[in-house]
Amino acid sequence: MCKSMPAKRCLLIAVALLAVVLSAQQVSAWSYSSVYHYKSLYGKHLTGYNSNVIVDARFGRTSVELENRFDYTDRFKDDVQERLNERLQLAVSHNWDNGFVKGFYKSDWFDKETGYILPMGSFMPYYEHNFKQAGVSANGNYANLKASFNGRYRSYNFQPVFPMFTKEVKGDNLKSEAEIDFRFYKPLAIYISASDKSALDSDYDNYDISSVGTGLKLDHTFTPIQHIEAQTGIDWRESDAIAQDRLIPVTSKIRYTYMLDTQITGFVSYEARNFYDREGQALLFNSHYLRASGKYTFLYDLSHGSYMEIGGKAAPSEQVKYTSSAIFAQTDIKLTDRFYLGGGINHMIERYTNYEAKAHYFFTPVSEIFVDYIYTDDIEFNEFATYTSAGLRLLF
Amino acid sequence: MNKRKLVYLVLLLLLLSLLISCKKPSTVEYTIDNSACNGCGRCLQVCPYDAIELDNNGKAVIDQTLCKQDGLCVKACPQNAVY
Repeated sequence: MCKSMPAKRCLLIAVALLAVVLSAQQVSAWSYSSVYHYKSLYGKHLTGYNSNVIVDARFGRTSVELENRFDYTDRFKDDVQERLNERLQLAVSHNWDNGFVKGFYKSDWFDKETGYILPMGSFMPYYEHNFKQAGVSANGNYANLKASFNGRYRSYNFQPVFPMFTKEVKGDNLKSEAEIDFRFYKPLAIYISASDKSALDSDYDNYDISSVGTGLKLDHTFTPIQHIEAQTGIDWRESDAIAQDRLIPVTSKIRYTYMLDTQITGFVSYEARNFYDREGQALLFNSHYLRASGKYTFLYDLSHGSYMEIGGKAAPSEQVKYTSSAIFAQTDIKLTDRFYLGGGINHMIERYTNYEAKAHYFFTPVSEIFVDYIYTDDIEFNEFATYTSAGLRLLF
Repeated sequence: MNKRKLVYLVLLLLLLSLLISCKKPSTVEYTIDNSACNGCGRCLQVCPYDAIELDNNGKAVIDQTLCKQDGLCVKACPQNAVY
Protein backbone atom coordinates (compact mmCIF):
# COMPACT_ATOMS: atom_id res chain seq x y z
CA MET A 1 0.00 0.00 0.00
CA CYS A 2 2.78 2.42 0.94
CA LYS A 3 4.52 1.93 -2.42
CA SER A 4 1.72 3.84 -4.13
CA MET A 5 1.54 6.70 -1.61
CA PRO A 6 3.90 9.59 -1.04
CA ALA A 7 6.55 8.66 1.55
CA LYS A 8 5.73 11.70 3.67
CA ARG A 9 2.07 10.72 3.97
CA CYS A 10 2.90 7.11 4.74
CA LEU A 11 5.36 8.20 7.44
CA LEU A 12 2.76 10.54 8.97
CA ILE A 13 0.24 7.67 9.27
CA ALA A 14 2.84 5.34 10.84
CA VAL A 15 4.03 7.93 13.38
CA ALA A 16 0.48 8.92 14.34
CA LEU A 17 -0.52 5.28 14.78
CA LEU A 18 2.55 4.49 16.89
CA ALA A 19 2.12 7.56 19.11
CA VAL A 20 -1.54 6.79 19.78
CA VAL A 21 -1.00 3.11 20.57
CA LEU A 22 2.04 3.60 22.83
CA SER A 23 0.57 6.36 24.96
CA ALA A 24 -2.95 5.06 25.57
CA GLN A 25 -4.38 3.42 28.68
CA GLN A 26 -6.74 1.27 26.65
CA VAL A 27 -6.50 0.48 22.96
CA SER A 28 -8.99 -1.23 20.65
CA ALA A 29 -8.74 -1.75 16.90
CA TRP A 30 -11.07 -2.81 14.10
CA SER A 31 -9.94 -3.76 10.65
CA TYR A 32 -11.71 -4.68 7.41
CA SER A 33 -10.03 -5.70 4.19
CA SER A 34 -11.29 -7.37 1.03
CA VAL A 35 -10.46 -8.07 -2.58
CA TYR A 36 -13.22 -8.04 -5.16
CA HIS A 37 -13.85 -8.79 -8.79
CA TYR A 38 -16.67 -7.44 -10.96
CA LYS A 39 -17.59 -8.91 -14.32
CA SER A 40 -20.48 -8.00 -16.61
CA LEU A 41 -22.17 -9.92 -19.40
CA TYR A 42 -20.53 -7.76 -22.06
CA GLY A 43 -17.04 -8.39 -20.76
CA LYS A 44 -16.47 -5.29 -18.66
CA HIS A 45 -14.49 -6.31 -15.61
CA LEU A 46 -12.53 -4.75 -12.79
CA THR A 47 -10.63 -5.91 -9.76
CA GLY A 48 -10.15 -3.95 -6.58
CA TYR A 49 -8.97 -3.94 -3.02
CA ASN A 50 -10.27 -1.95 -0.10
CA SER A 51 -9.46 -1.75 3.58
CA ASN A 52 -10.51 0.21 6.60
CA VAL A 53 -8.57 0.31 9.86
CA ILE A 54 -9.77 2.09 13.00
CA VAL A 55 -7.61 2.38 16.09
CA ASP A 56 -9.23 3.84 19.20
CA ALA A 57 -7.11 4.79 22.19
CA ARG A 58 -8.58 5.97 25.49
CA PHE A 59 -7.05 8.19 28.10
CA GLY A 60 -9.74 8.38 30.77
CA ARG A 61 -12.57 10.51 29.34
CA THR A 62 -10.51 11.50 26.31
CA SER A 63 -10.21 9.29 23.28
CA VAL A 64 -8.12 9.49 20.14
CA GLU A 65 -9.32 7.72 17.01
CA LEU A 66 -7.26 7.12 13.90
CA GLU A 67 -9.04 5.84 10.81
CA ASN A 68 -7.49 4.91 7.52
CA ARG A 69 -9.47 3.90 4.42
CA PHE A 70 -7.78 2.62 1.30
CA ASP A 71 -9.52 1.86 -1.98
CA TYR A 72 -7.96 0.69 -5.22
CA THR A 73 -9.68 -0.28 -8.49
CA ASP A 74 -7.71 -1.30 -11.56
CA ARG A 75 -10.33 0.11 -13.95
CA PHE A 76 -12.78 2.75 -12.91
CA LYS A 77 -14.88 4.02 -15.78
CA ASP A 78 -15.14 2.63 -19.30
CA ASP A 79 -12.18 0.36 -18.59
CA VAL A 80 -9.68 3.16 -19.11
CA GLN A 81 -8.96 4.67 -15.74
CA GLU A 82 -7.71 3.22 -12.48
CA ARG A 83 -8.73 4.75 -9.18
CA LEU A 84 -6.64 4.95 -6.03
CA ASN A 85 -7.92 6.71 -2.96
CA GLU A 86 -6.64 6.89 0.59
CA ARG A 87 -8.42 8.65 3.44
CA LEU A 88 -6.91 9.45 6.80
CA GLN A 89 -8.90 10.79 9.72
CA LEU A 90 -7.63 11.72 13.15
CA ALA A 91 -10.22 12.65 15.78
CA VAL A 92 -9.82 13.65 19.41
CA SER A 93 -12.89 13.73 21.63
CA HIS A 94 -13.53 14.45 25.26
CA ASN A 95 -16.68 13.20 26.97
CA TRP A 96 -18.30 14.25 30.19
CA ASP A 97 -21.57 13.25 31.83
CA ASN A 98 -23.72 15.66 29.80
CA GLY A 99 -21.98 15.92 26.48
CA PHE A 100 -18.83 15.83 24.41
CA VAL A 101 -16.54 17.95 22.30
CA LYS A 102 -14.68 16.55 19.30
CA GLY A 103 -12.11 17.88 16.89
CA PHE A 104 -11.01 16.14 13.71
CA TYR A 105 -8.71 16.38 10.74
CA LYS A 106 -9.49 14.47 7.55
CA SER A 107 -7.44 14.18 4.40
CA ASP A 108 -8.46 12.49 1.16
CA TRP A 109 -5.65 11.63 -1.18
CA PHE A 110 -5.97 10.38 -4.78
CA ASP A 111 -3.14 9.06 -6.87
CA LYS A 112 -2.13 11.44 -9.63
CA GLU A 113 -4.49 11.30 -12.58
CA THR A 114 -6.80 8.69 -11.13
CA GLY A 115 -10.59 8.71 -11.46
CA TYR A 116 -12.84 11.31 -12.99
CA ILE A 117 -15.15 13.82 -11.40
CA LEU A 118 -17.30 16.73 -12.58
CA PRO A 119 -16.90 19.27 -9.80
CA MET A 120 -19.16 22.26 -9.18
CA GLY A 121 -21.45 21.66 -12.13
CA SER A 122 -18.62 21.60 -14.65
CA PHE A 123 -19.26 19.88 -17.97
CA MET A 124 -15.57 19.10 -18.42
CA PRO A 125 -14.00 16.24 -16.45
CA TYR A 126 -11.37 16.71 -13.76
CA TYR A 127 -9.13 14.23 -12.03
CA GLU A 128 -10.13 13.47 -8.47
CA HIS A 129 -7.71 15.19 -6.18
CA ASN A 130 -6.86 15.94 -2.63
CA PHE A 131 -9.27 17.23 0.00
CA LYS A 132 -8.40 18.48 3.43
CA GLN A 133 -10.96 19.00 6.15
CA ALA A 134 -10.79 20.08 9.76
CA GLY A 135 -13.66 20.62 12.12
CA VAL A 136 -15.17 20.60 15.59
CA SER A 137 -18.42 19.29 16.96
CA ALA A 138 -19.92 19.67 20.41
CA ASN A 139 -23.01 18.41 22.14
CA GLY A 140 -24.37 19.24 25.58
CA ASN A 141 -27.43 18.55 27.72
CA TYR A 142 -28.42 20.87 30.54
CA ALA A 143 -31.75 20.18 32.29
CA ASN A 144 -34.38 20.43 29.53
CA LEU A 145 -32.01 21.97 27.01
CA LYS A 146 -29.92 20.15 24.44
CA ALA A 147 -27.50 22.01 22.19
CA SER A 148 -25.29 20.80 19.37
CA PHE A 149 -22.80 22.44 17.03
CA ASN A 150 -20.86 21.18 14.01
CA GLY A 151 -18.37 23.16 12.01
CA ARG A 152 -15.87 22.20 9.36
CA TYR A 153 -13.39 23.82 7.02
CA ARG A 154 -12.68 22.15 3.68
CA SER A 155 -10.12 22.93 1.02
CA TYR A 156 -10.06 21.29 -2.39
CA ASN A 157 -8.08 21.24 -5.59
CA PHE A 158 -8.98 19.66 -8.95
CA GLN A 159 -6.71 19.24 -11.96
CA PRO A 160 -8.38 19.31 -15.41
CA VAL A 161 -8.26 16.27 -17.68
CA PHE A 162 -8.11 18.63 -20.68
CA PRO A 163 -6.03 21.62 -19.51
CA MET A 164 -6.27 23.27 -22.93
CA PHE A 165 -10.00 23.79 -22.37
CA THR A 166 -10.35 24.25 -18.60
CA LYS A 167 -8.17 25.50 -15.76
CA GLU A 168 -7.38 24.14 -12.32
CA VAL A 169 -10.19 24.49 -9.76
CA LYS A 170 -9.26 25.24 -6.18
CA GLY A 171 -10.84 26.85 -3.19
CA ASP A 172 -12.19 26.32 0.28
CA ASN A 173 -15.41 26.68 2.19
CA LEU A 174 -16.69 26.81 5.73
CA LYS A 175 -19.78 24.91 6.87
CA SER A 176 -21.41 25.28 10.27
CA GLU A 177 -24.66 24.12 11.79
CA ALA A 178 -26.22 24.46 15.23
CA GLU A 179 -29.39 23.24 16.90
CA ILE A 180 -31.05 23.85 20.26
CA ASP A 181 -33.79 21.54 21.58
CA PHE A 182 -36.00 22.53 24.49
CA ARG A 183 -37.97 19.66 26.07
CA PHE A 184 -41.04 21.44 27.44
CA TYR A 185 -42.94 18.23 28.21
CA LYS A 186 -41.26 14.88 28.60
CA PRO A 187 -42.04 13.28 25.22
CA LEU A 188 -42.12 16.61 23.35
CA ALA A 189 -39.42 19.10 22.41
CA ILE A 190 -39.31 22.21 20.29
CA TYR A 191 -36.15 22.94 18.28
CA ILE A 192 -34.55 25.76 16.35
CA SER A 193 -31.68 25.20 13.94
CA ALA A 194 -29.40 27.21 11.68
CA SER A 195 -26.78 26.25 9.12
CA ASP A 196 -24.52 27.97 6.66
CA LYS A 197 -22.04 26.94 3.96
CA SER A 198 -19.95 29.74 2.48
CA ALA A 199 -17.03 29.80 0.10
CA LEU A 200 -14.01 31.65 1.51
CA ASP A 201 -11.48 31.94 -1.27
CA SER A 202 -12.91 29.93 -4.12
CA ASP A 203 -13.10 29.83 -7.90
CA TYR A 204 -16.77 29.02 -7.36
CA ASP A 205 -18.74 30.94 -4.76
CA ASN A 206 -22.28 30.48 -6.09
CA TYR A 207 -22.79 27.23 -4.15
CA ASP A 208 -23.33 28.97 -0.83
CA ILE A 209 -26.40 28.09 1.19
CA SER A 210 -27.82 29.20 4.51
CA SER A 211 -30.94 28.06 6.31
CA VAL A 212 -32.88 28.42 9.54
CA GLY A 213 -35.52 26.03 10.77
CA THR A 214 -37.86 25.23 13.61
CA GLY A 215 -40.18 22.40 14.54
CA LEU A 216 -41.43 19.86 17.01
CA LYS A 217 -39.96 16.49 18.04
CA LEU A 218 -41.62 13.60 19.80
CA ASP A 219 -39.79 10.65 21.35
CA HIS A 220 -41.90 8.30 23.43
CA THR A 221 -41.75 4.72 24.65
CA PHE A 222 -45.31 3.52 25.30
CA THR A 223 -44.25 0.22 26.81
CA PRO A 224 -40.93 -1.64 26.60
CA ILE A 225 -42.14 -3.17 23.34
CA GLN A 226 -43.46 -0.05 21.57
CA HIS A 227 -41.50 3.06 20.70
CA ILE A 228 -42.39 6.02 18.55
CA GLU A 229 -40.34 8.90 17.17
CA ALA A 230 -41.80 11.77 15.18
CA GLN A 231 -40.68 15.13 13.96
CA THR A 232 -42.22 17.93 11.95
CA GLY A 233 -40.46 21.13 10.97
CA ILE A 234 -40.00 23.89 8.45
CA ASP A 235 -36.79 25.24 6.92
CA TRP A 236 -36.21 28.54 5.19
CA ARG A 237 -33.24 28.23 2.82
CA GLU A 238 -31.37 30.89 0.86
CA SER A 239 -29.20 29.81 -2.05
CA ASP A 240 -28.63 30.65 -5.69
CA ALA A 241 -27.75 27.01 -6.35
CA ILE A 242 -31.21 25.64 -5.49
CA ALA A 243 -34.30 26.14 -7.62
CA GLN A 244 -36.55 28.86 -6.21
CA ASP A 245 -39.43 26.39 -5.78
CA ARG A 246 -37.33 24.25 -3.39
CA LEU A 247 -36.39 26.88 -0.81
CA ILE A 248 -39.06 26.19 1.84
CA PRO A 249 -39.48 22.48 2.70
CA VAL A 250 -41.81 21.26 5.45
CA THR A 251 -40.61 17.85 6.58
CA SER A 252 -42.58 15.39 8.74
CA LYS A 253 -41.32 12.00 9.91
CA ILE A 254 -42.78 9.16 11.97
CA ARG A 255 -41.05 5.94 13.00
CA TYR A 256 -42.88 3.28 14.97
CA THR A 257 -40.99 0.28 16.36
CA TYR A 258 -42.74 -2.78 17.76
CA MET A 259 -41.20 -5.78 19.49
CA LEU A 260 -43.67 -8.65 19.41
CA ASP A 261 -41.41 -10.84 21.53
CA THR A 262 -37.69 -11.48 21.86
CA GLN A 263 -37.67 -13.08 18.39
CA ILE A 264 -39.83 -10.78 16.25
CA THR A 265 -39.29 -7.05 15.84
CA GLY A 266 -40.41 -4.62 13.19
CA PHE A 267 -40.73 -0.98 12.33
CA VAL A 268 -42.66 1.30 10.01
CA SER A 269 -41.39 4.74 9.09
CA TYR A 270 -42.97 7.41 6.95
CA GLU A 271 -41.61 10.71 5.76
CA ALA A 272 -43.28 13.49 3.80
CA ARG A 273 -41.59 16.56 2.37
CA ASN A 274 -43.75 19.45 1.19
CA PHE A 275 -42.24 22.42 -0.64
CA TYR A 276 -44.04 25.75 -0.38
CA ASP A 277 -43.62 29.03 -2.22
CA ARG A 278 -41.96 32.03 -0.55
CA GLU A 279 -45.23 33.34 0.83
CA GLY A 280 -46.02 29.95 2.36
CA GLN A 281 -49.34 29.93 0.51
CA ALA A 282 -49.05 27.43 -2.33
CA LEU A 283 -47.83 23.85 -2.07
CA LEU A 284 -45.50 23.33 -5.03
CA PHE A 285 -44.30 19.73 -4.59
CA ASN A 286 -44.65 16.94 -2.12
CA SER A 287 -42.89 13.63 -1.77
CA HIS A 288 -43.59 10.52 0.30
CA TYR A 289 -41.27 7.84 1.60
CA LEU A 290 -42.58 4.74 3.36
CA ARG A 291 -40.31 2.04 4.75
CA ALA A 292 -41.25 -1.10 6.67
CA SER A 293 -39.18 -3.99 7.89
CA GLY A 294 -39.69 -7.13 10.00
CA LYS A 295 -36.99 -9.28 11.56
CA TYR A 296 -37.08 -12.77 13.05
CA THR A 297 -34.12 -13.72 15.26
CA PHE A 298 -33.28 -17.35 15.95
CA LEU A 299 -32.79 -17.81 19.67
CA TYR A 300 -30.55 -20.88 19.36
CA ASP A 301 -27.75 -18.49 18.35
CA LEU A 302 -26.86 -16.73 21.61
CA SER A 303 -24.97 -13.99 19.74
CA HIS A 304 -28.27 -12.99 18.00
CA GLY A 305 -26.42 -13.23 14.68
CA SER A 306 -28.91 -15.64 13.05
CA TYR A 307 -31.95 -13.93 11.56
CA MET A 308 -34.36 -13.51 8.68
CA GLU A 309 -35.40 -10.03 7.63
CA ILE A 310 -37.83 -8.78 5.03
CA GLY A 311 -38.69 -5.20 4.14
CA GLY A 312 -39.56 -2.68 1.54
CA LYS A 313 -39.62 1.00 0.77
CA ALA A 314 -41.84 3.06 -1.48
CA ALA A 315 -40.94 6.48 -2.80
CA PRO A 316 -43.20 7.15 -5.79
CA SER A 317 -42.27 10.06 -8.00
CA GLU A 318 -43.16 11.66 -11.28
CA GLN A 319 -40.37 14.22 -11.18
CA VAL A 320 -36.98 12.57 -10.87
CA LYS A 321 -35.45 10.24 -13.40
CA TYR A 322 -35.78 7.19 -11.18
CA THR A 323 -38.13 6.10 -8.44
CA SER A 324 -36.27 4.52 -5.51
CA SER A 325 -38.96 2.00 -4.46
CA ALA A 326 -37.55 -1.41 -3.51
CA ILE A 327 -38.27 -4.68 -1.73
CA PHE A 328 -35.55 -6.64 0.01
CA ALA A 329 -34.98 -9.75 2.13
CA GLN A 330 -31.89 -11.16 3.77
CA THR A 331 -30.87 -13.91 6.12
CA ASP A 332 -27.83 -15.18 8.00
CA ILE A 333 -27.91 -18.58 9.67
CA LYS A 334 -25.44 -20.17 12.08
CA LEU A 335 -24.79 -23.67 10.75
CA THR A 336 -22.02 -24.89 13.01
CA ASP A 337 -20.23 -23.47 16.03
CA ARG A 338 -18.41 -20.80 14.00
CA PHE A 339 -19.73 -21.02 10.47
CA TYR A 340 -22.55 -18.88 9.04
CA LEU A 341 -24.31 -19.05 5.70
CA GLY A 342 -26.53 -16.26 4.39
CA GLY A 343 -28.02 -14.54 1.42
CA GLY A 344 -30.48 -12.00 0.22
CA ILE A 345 -32.53 -10.46 -2.56
CA ASN A 346 -32.76 -6.76 -3.27
CA HIS A 347 -35.17 -5.71 -6.00
CA MET A 348 -35.25 -2.04 -6.95
CA ILE A 349 -38.26 -1.38 -9.15
CA GLU A 350 -37.37 -0.70 -12.80
CA ARG A 351 -33.65 -0.69 -12.02
CA TYR A 352 -32.09 -3.98 -10.87
CA THR A 353 -32.39 -7.17 -8.86
CA ASN A 354 -29.47 -8.36 -6.74
CA TYR A 355 -29.18 -11.99 -5.58
CA GLU A 356 -26.58 -12.44 -2.86
CA ALA A 357 -24.99 -15.47 -1.20
CA LYS A 358 -22.40 -15.21 1.55
CA ALA A 359 -20.48 -17.41 3.97
CA HIS A 360 -18.34 -16.42 6.92
CA TYR A 361 -16.26 -18.23 9.49
CA PHE A 362 -15.35 -16.83 12.92
CA PHE A 363 -11.84 -17.96 13.76
CA THR A 364 -12.08 -16.01 17.06
CA PRO A 365 -15.35 -14.96 18.77
CA VAL A 366 -15.12 -11.50 17.11
CA SER A 367 -12.94 -11.93 14.01
CA GLU A 368 -14.04 -13.57 10.78
CA ILE A 369 -13.15 -14.45 7.23
CA PHE A 370 -15.86 -14.08 4.58
CA VAL A 371 -16.78 -14.77 0.95
CA ASP A 372 -19.58 -12.84 -0.78
CA TYR A 373 -21.14 -13.38 -4.20
CA ILE A 374 -23.70 -11.03 -5.82
CA TYR A 375 -25.46 -11.65 -9.12
CA THR A 376 -27.07 -8.53 -10.58
CA ASP A 377 -29.85 -8.51 -13.15
CA ASP A 378 -29.62 -4.91 -14.34
CA ILE A 379 -33.08 -4.12 -15.70
CA GLU A 380 -32.18 -0.56 -16.60
CA PHE A 381 -29.31 -1.48 -18.95
CA ASN A 382 -30.52 -4.99 -19.79
CA GLU A 383 -27.29 -6.47 -18.48
CA PHE A 384 -26.11 -9.15 -16.07
CA ALA A 385 -23.11 -8.83 -13.77
CA THR A 386 -21.37 -10.71 -10.97
CA TYR A 387 -19.50 -9.31 -7.99
CA THR A 388 -17.31 -11.61 -5.93
CA SER A 389 -15.40 -10.56 -2.83
CA ALA A 390 -13.42 -12.19 -0.05
CA GLY A 391 -11.85 -10.68 3.02
CA LEU A 392 -11.25 -10.38 6.73
CA ARG A 393 -12.85 -8.51 9.60
CA LEU A 394 -10.68 -8.30 12.69
CA LEU A 395 -11.35 -6.87 16.13
CA PHE A 396 -8.66 -6.52 18.78
CA MET B 1 -54.71 15.38 29.69
CA ASN B 2 -52.54 12.36 30.29
CA LYS B 3 -49.35 11.67 28.37
CA ARG B 4 -50.81 8.95 26.16
CA LYS B 5 -53.65 11.20 24.98
CA LEU B 6 -51.22 14.02 24.28
CA VAL B 7 -49.01 11.72 22.20
CA TYR B 8 -52.01 10.51 20.18
CA LEU B 9 -53.13 14.12 19.65
CA VAL B 10 -49.71 15.18 18.39
CA LEU B 11 -49.55 12.19 16.07
CA LEU B 12 -53.01 12.96 14.73
CA LEU B 13 -52.01 16.55 14.00
CA LEU B 14 -48.84 15.30 12.34
CA LEU B 15 -50.74 12.90 10.10
CA LEU B 16 -53.19 15.63 9.17
CA SER B 17 -50.32 17.92 8.26
CA LEU B 18 -48.88 15.18 6.07
CA LEU B 19 -52.10 14.68 4.20
CA ILE B 20 -52.81 18.36 3.58
CA SER B 21 -53.18 19.16 -0.10
CA CYS B 22 -51.84 15.87 -1.35
CA LYS B 23 -50.56 16.46 -4.84
CA LYS B 24 -49.09 13.92 -7.20
CA PRO B 25 -45.93 12.59 -5.56
CA SER B 26 -42.81 14.28 -6.88
CA THR B 27 -39.40 13.68 -5.37
CA VAL B 28 -37.54 16.89 -6.10
CA GLU B 29 -34.55 16.16 -3.87
CA TYR B 30 -32.77 12.92 -3.12
CA THR B 31 -32.35 12.48 0.64
CA ILE B 32 -30.61 9.95 2.91
CA ASP B 33 -32.59 7.95 5.46
CA ASN B 34 -30.30 8.43 8.47
CA SER B 35 -31.54 5.37 10.31
CA ALA B 36 -30.80 3.11 7.30
CA CYS B 37 -27.38 4.54 6.30
CA ASN B 38 -24.39 2.52 7.56
CA GLY B 39 -21.75 4.98 6.33
CA CYS B 40 -20.11 2.57 3.83
CA GLY B 41 -19.33 5.49 1.51
CA ARG B 42 -20.28 3.86 -1.81
CA CYS B 43 -22.55 6.80 -2.66
CA LEU B 44 -19.56 9.13 -2.27
CA GLN B 45 -17.56 7.05 -4.72
CA VAL B 46 -20.17 7.02 -7.48
CA CYS B 47 -21.28 10.65 -7.24
CA PRO B 48 -19.58 12.50 -10.12
CA TYR B 49 -20.38 15.91 -8.66
CA ASP B 50 -18.72 15.62 -5.23
CA ALA B 51 -22.18 16.25 -3.74
CA ILE B 52 -22.08 13.69 -0.88
CA GLU B 53 -19.98 13.69 2.26
CA LEU B 54 -20.02 11.86 5.58
CA ASP B 55 -21.12 13.89 8.60
CA ASN B 56 -19.60 13.70 12.06
CA ASN B 57 -21.71 10.64 12.86
CA GLY B 58 -20.37 8.82 9.81
CA LYS B 59 -23.69 9.12 7.93
CA ALA B 60 -23.91 10.27 4.31
CA VAL B 61 -25.33 13.75 3.65
CA ILE B 62 -26.30 15.14 0.25
CA ASP B 63 -25.29 18.73 -0.48
CA GLN B 64 -28.38 19.92 -2.37
CA THR B 65 -26.47 22.80 -3.97
CA LEU B 66 -24.21 20.33 -5.82
CA CYS B 67 -26.65 17.45 -6.47
CA LYS B 68 -27.74 17.05 -10.09
CA GLN B 69 -30.24 14.28 -9.29
CA ASP B 70 -28.82 11.71 -11.68
CA GLY B 71 -29.68 8.99 -9.14
CA LEU B 72 -26.39 7.06 -9.21
CA CYS B 73 -26.29 7.05 -5.40
CA VAL B 74 -29.80 5.53 -5.26
CA LYS B 75 -28.57 2.54 -7.22
CA ALA B 76 -25.22 2.23 -5.43
CA CYS B 77 -26.55 2.18 -1.87
CA PRO B 78 -26.59 -1.42 -0.52
CA GLN B 79 -28.88 -0.34 2.35
CA ASN B 80 -31.54 1.28 0.13
CA ALA B 81 -31.08 4.40 2.23
CA VAL B 82 -31.36 6.99 -0.55
CA TYR B 83 -34.85 8.08 -1.59
